[in-house]
This record gives sequence, C-alpha cells and structure tokens, in this order.
Amino acid sequence: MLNWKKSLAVLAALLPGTVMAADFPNAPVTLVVPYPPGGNVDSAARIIAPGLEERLGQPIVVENRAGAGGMIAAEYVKNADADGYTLFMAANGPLLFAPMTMNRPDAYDWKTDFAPIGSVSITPMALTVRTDQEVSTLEELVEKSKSSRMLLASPGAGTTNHLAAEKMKAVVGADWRIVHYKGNAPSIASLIGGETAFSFDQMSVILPHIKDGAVVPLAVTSAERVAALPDVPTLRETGVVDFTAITFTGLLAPAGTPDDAIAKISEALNATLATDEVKKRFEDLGSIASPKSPAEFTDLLNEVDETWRPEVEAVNANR
Amino acid sequence: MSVLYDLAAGFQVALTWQALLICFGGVMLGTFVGVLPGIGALAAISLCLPLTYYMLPVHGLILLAGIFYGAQYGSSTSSILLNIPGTPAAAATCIDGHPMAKKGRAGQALFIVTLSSFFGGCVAIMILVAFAPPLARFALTFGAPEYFAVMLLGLVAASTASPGSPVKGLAMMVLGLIFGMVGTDVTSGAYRFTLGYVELTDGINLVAMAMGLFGIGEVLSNLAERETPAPPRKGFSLREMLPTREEARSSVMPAVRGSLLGSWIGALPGTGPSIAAFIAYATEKRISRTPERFGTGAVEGIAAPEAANNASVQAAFIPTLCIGIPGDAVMAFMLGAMIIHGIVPGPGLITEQPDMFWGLVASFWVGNVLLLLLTLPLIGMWVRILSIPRQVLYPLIIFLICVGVYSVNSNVFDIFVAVAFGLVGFAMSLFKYPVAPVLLGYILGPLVEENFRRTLFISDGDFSAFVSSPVSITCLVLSLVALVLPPLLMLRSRRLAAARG
Repeated sequence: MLNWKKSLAVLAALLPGTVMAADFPNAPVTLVVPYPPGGNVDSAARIIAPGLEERLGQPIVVENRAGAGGMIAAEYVKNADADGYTLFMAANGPLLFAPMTMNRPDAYDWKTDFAPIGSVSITPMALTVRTDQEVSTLEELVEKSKSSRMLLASPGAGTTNHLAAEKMKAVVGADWRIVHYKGNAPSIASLIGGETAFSFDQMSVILPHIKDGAVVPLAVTSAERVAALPDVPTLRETGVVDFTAITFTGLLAPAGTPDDAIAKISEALNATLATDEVKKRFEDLGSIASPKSPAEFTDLLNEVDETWRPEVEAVNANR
Repeated sequence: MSVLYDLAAGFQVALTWQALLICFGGVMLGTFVGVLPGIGALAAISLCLPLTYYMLPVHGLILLAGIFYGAQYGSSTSSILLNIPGTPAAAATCIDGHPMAKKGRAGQALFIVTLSSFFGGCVAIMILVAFAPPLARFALTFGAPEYFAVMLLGLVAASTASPGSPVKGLAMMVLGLIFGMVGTDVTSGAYRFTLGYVELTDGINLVAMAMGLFGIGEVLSNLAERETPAPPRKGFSLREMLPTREEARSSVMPAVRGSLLGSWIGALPGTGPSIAAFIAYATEKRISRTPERFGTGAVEGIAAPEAANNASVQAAFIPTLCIGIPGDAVMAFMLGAMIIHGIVPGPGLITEQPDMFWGLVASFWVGNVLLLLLTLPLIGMWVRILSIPRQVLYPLIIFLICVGVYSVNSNVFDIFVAVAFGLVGFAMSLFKYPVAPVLLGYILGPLVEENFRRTLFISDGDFSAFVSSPVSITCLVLSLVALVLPPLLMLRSRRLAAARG
C-alpha cells in the first residue's frame, strides 16, 4: 500500500512537476500541529494562519495530530507528499528529541527528513520563586537551596522546563528535588498553592501570577531581557549560569519540497510575522514573533539541538 | 451587594440579541454532539474556534462554553435510550437510566436528567458567582496527599457501585487500573505497557475506550440477542412523560447532593465531569436504604450523576477564570481560545475584564434556561429513536463512534483501540461482568498512583505525610470505613440471624 502511495506521489511529482511549483499554491495548505488544540504551539499556528491565507491566497488548515511526544505529527508530515501543501508546525521536543526519547531513533532525523522554512515564535521562560520564600535574587535562591531542601515544580520529565532545571542544578551543585506534574497547569498550581517552591515556566503561563504578586521572577531564560519584565535579568546576566533556554515554534516541509514553494511560504510567513497585529498577539502569549530565513532557522535548530541533546540523553528514562 | 450589581452588568452583556443568538447556537450544537455517541464537546469546540475570530471575545467564549455544557445535557440521552453514553461523563447514567428505558419509562428518565442537569448547573453557577475566588484559592491548597486521599475515597466508594456481584465489580475495577497504567510514567517519563506502539505512549485514549466498551460492546451484545426489544408503544406527548410524584420526590435530594459534590469536584484542577458523576452515583448507592434497587432503574441513580456532571463543568470555570489554571483538556482549550483573543486569564481577570467575566457567567444562566426550554420539548423526539429498526440504527451508531473517536486526535489507531475494547465489552456482557468499573478504575487509578508517589517523593518516603492535613485524614478514614463496614455489617446480620434461628 505504501508503495502504491509512493509511486502515485512520484507520478504526481513527475508529470506536471514544474508547472505545479510555478503556480504554488493552488490548493489549501495544511499546518500539522503535534499537540491538541489550546496549547502554545496550536495557538501559534492559529495566529499565523489568517496572515498566510491572505498572502498565499489559499485556505490554511490547522490540523491537530497529537500524541507520542509529537512523533505522530512529525512522521505524518515526513511521509506526506513533498509539495509544500503539508507543513509541520514544529517545536523543540517533537522535531529534535522525540525520536530519541521515544526510543525510535530511526523514525526521522530533522536534518535529513525535513526542509526548514522559518521559525514562527520564540518563548522564553522565567525562573520564579514563591513570594513567601523571601528570596529576591538568583544568588539568594542558590544559597537557600543549599541549606534547606527545596522543591522545584516541572511540567513533565523531558520538557524544556525540566531540562533547564537539571542543567542549572548541575552547575550550582544544589540538591533540588524536581517534582513532575502532568503539564503546566498542575505544575503552576503546586507552585502557587505551596506544594513546591520554585520553577521554570513559559512566560505566557506565569506572567499573570508574577503580576498578582504570588511569585517573584529571578531571571528570564532568553538571550535578551523580556519586554514584559524589563527589570528582570537574563540567566547569563546573573552570572550564576551561562546558558539560554527557549522553546521555539517553526514551520518545516518534508525534505525534497521544491525550493520555490519553500521560498513562497517563507516570504508569506515573514511578512505575516512582521505585522503589528501578529506581533501583539504573540506578545500577549508571552512569546516573541520571530521571522527568520530558512538558513537562519536551520542555524537556530542546530544551536538548540547541540545545547540540549546531551541533557535530553541524560534524563531519558527509555534508553 | 456589589456581586448583584456585577451580575446585572453581566446580564446586560449576555442578553443582547447577538449574545443570545450565539448562546442558543452553542447550546444547540452542544446538545447535538452530546447526543451523538463518541463525538464530544472538545471536537465541536475545536471546530468552532476559527468562527470565534470574527466575534467579540466574550461572544466567542459564550459560544464555546455553551457547546461544553450543552454537551452534558445531550450526553445522557443516548445513555438512557441506548445504554451508550454520549460522552464518558454520562457513563454512570447508563447504569440506572437504561433499565428505566427498558421498563418503558425513557421519557420520565429524560425528564428527570434534564431537570437535574439544570439544577446542578444553577447550583454551580451560584457557587461560582458567590465564592469563585476564595474557592479557587482553597482548591489550590490541595496538594498531593489531599488529592491522593480524595481520589482513593472515590475509588473505594465507587468500587462496589455497579449492580450485580461485588467481586465481579471489584475485578473489573482492577482491570481498569491496569489499563490506566498504560502510557508514560509521570515521575520518570518511562513508558509502561506500550507494547512498542508510540500511539500508546500517551496512554489509552479515554474516548476510544469508553466508546468501545459501552458503545460497540452494547451494539454487539444487542445483535447477539435473538429477539428485538419491542419499541415503546406509548404516546410521546409531554404529559405522558411527566415523572410520577414519587419519582420526582426521590430525585430531589440526590440532585442536591450531586450538585454540591459536582461543584466541588469540578473546582479541583485535574478532575472532570466523569469523576464527579461516578462519585455522585456511588454516594447515592452508599447512603441509600435500598441499594439493591440501584442498577434496576432507580431515579436516584440518574438524578445524582447528571446533576453532578453538569455542576462540575460549570464549576470547572472557577480555576480557569479565577487563577488561569485549567482543570481538564476542554478547559485548557478554552484558556487557549481566550489567549488567542488577547485575554490572559489569571488572578487579575475578574477586575481587569469584568464585562467578560460577568457576561460569561450570566450567559451560563441564560444557556441553562435555553437548554431546559430546548430539551424538554425534544424528549418526545429522542424517545422515538428507540423505534428505529436496529439494522438502520446500529450501523449508524458504529459509524458515529468511529468518526467521534477519530476526531479526538485524528488518529486511526484510536479506532482500532475502540474496536478492541468493543470486543472486550461484548465478552464482558456475555459473562455478566459490569462495564462501568473498568472505566472508573481507568480514570481514577492513575490519579491515585501519581499522587501517592508524589506524596512520598516530596516527603522523602515518610508515610506520615498522608495524614498531615484534616482533609486527607477525613478522606482516608472514610475510605477505611467504606471498605470495612459492609463486611462487618453483613457478619453481624448473619450472626443475628444465626442467634435467632
């Protein structure tokens, strides 16, 4: 059956080949989201969809194919026709690390199976501590965590939040207990409710609680300071640790997609991300709209991959 | 009194003709997807999300919320008529609802569940209006030991809730616990019992499992029966479907208790309407003087879970709106929808966006009234479903289940899971094993385990952490009582009988 599908795809690619690419797109384009509706990645896809629709002149369909840490969506796009009509709305885990953590390293390799188009958004995290802990700087936190046993909330083993915590824990040499929850919501509930004391959280979900005074921000994990929290230093600026930790979203096509299709999508994507309305929407999400050329996006992917692969390997329970 | 003032302002938002129309559309669609087995609120909400881009944010939320609670009204219809829950939350309603329909009292059952749902919704909305912020804060103080104790109590109390042999019920619950273990371990990220399928790393899909066990299983076992159940010959006028005075009286207190339980469980993040309904059902059976009537068409057994599941979906808005922490997948989606509209839910929402908050809350009331007016006249139409010949009805049900199960994750694997559980459900009904406890064990088991291990992880292995708060002590003692008391009572009555005779 697979052969049948493939041969049909080859046929379709051979016959009207160049003609198809020239008038791309002439059919709806699907963005495949590796998570259920409602999260960060899904929201990002839905934010850019109207702008892409306008610029490409074709309907954009957002399709959620959640499950298996994003592998189901990734494999679906990998096996789709490489014609630019099926795109992967990727994020860190699903694109870079899922084959490793899911113990199926041969499933796909982002370097050979996908063609990067551009990043969509960058979401920094904030390291916050509950207000009643009476800690106001990162140094104080490290100090306090060495003398007393402190609990850190994580939204799940292997998440960027967890990895950042592990990396920092190793650098400062403190005995933090990392408590895992099922997602951001229960993790933040434990932080606000008093079960845990501090955590790394995506800006979008923790910002209301910072404003409310329930938690104190000690640092942000991006390379530059965040507009919403201008007085909060970056991790690097604190001098305690030297790394950045962000989650990205971005678009990729199956490898082998014609260059001009990629160029057209890239152009439409970057124009969409440059509009004030879209910028504002990402800002509301606690993210930053991040237009990049395919080459720049590839560099970002390489950087994130190199920084975090060893960490992911170290915490992977399914080796 | 400022609450009343705010609420009045909310009604000004909710009673504009646009808002009324949108609310009506939402609850109508919700009822519809609720009635169809397999297709749930989440699928309908995600389909409607793009529509909300063209609306005011508050109107968009009124639409999405209307679908959510509208589905709770609809989901009991197929439980009662076909023994197939429209959504997993209405599974508990099958246990007594379908026997009522078999006795020719389907109309009365639908009447009672509609009124109970309405009552449950109203109680939860009143609690939401009066106590939302403090309740949300109190729910936050629940840590791992409290969750463990509450969920354990639910599991123990509900373990014998199904009709028939308690041993078979218990065995099926354990089976449910085992199914609940499939997936990724929260504490380590390790995979358990995934049999090499990446699709199973997120666990068995709840909708696929529930629709397989109840839906496909029920269709198969009905097909295996020789004779076709006779369609009800009675008339379908509203008057003929009014519950008797006796039925009405005995459903009042269960609805009250169900509403309160549902409101509380709904306000706890991480729970949901299915848990609320099962615990309410189990509570009624426990405190009933005639528990043997449960499973044969007791009105208490439908009034309580339906009041509870509708109360819990209304109360689920408490943590979402007041602290920005969604209780379940549907709420997470609602939160996402708000964010897309530029509204960031959190502790400041009520003061920063009073129009939106109170408008939405007022629309809940409007929506519940609309649902009541919409559902009661439709009962006659729904009951007629029973007279559809089964060679037409069953393929349609199977088709709808497959579409519904697929719509959750757009994954064909889930349909295979549903079919597999359909065969399991068929085998179980052949040997008279109850289906509901499997679902219950599956839902509650992982919560019990996760919080048990988290408690010990946080306390460094110190078991005294389990009895560190009044809530957890109370629940643990009640669990113990629920476990030990029935056998003791039985022993005593046997001794008394022996002494007498």
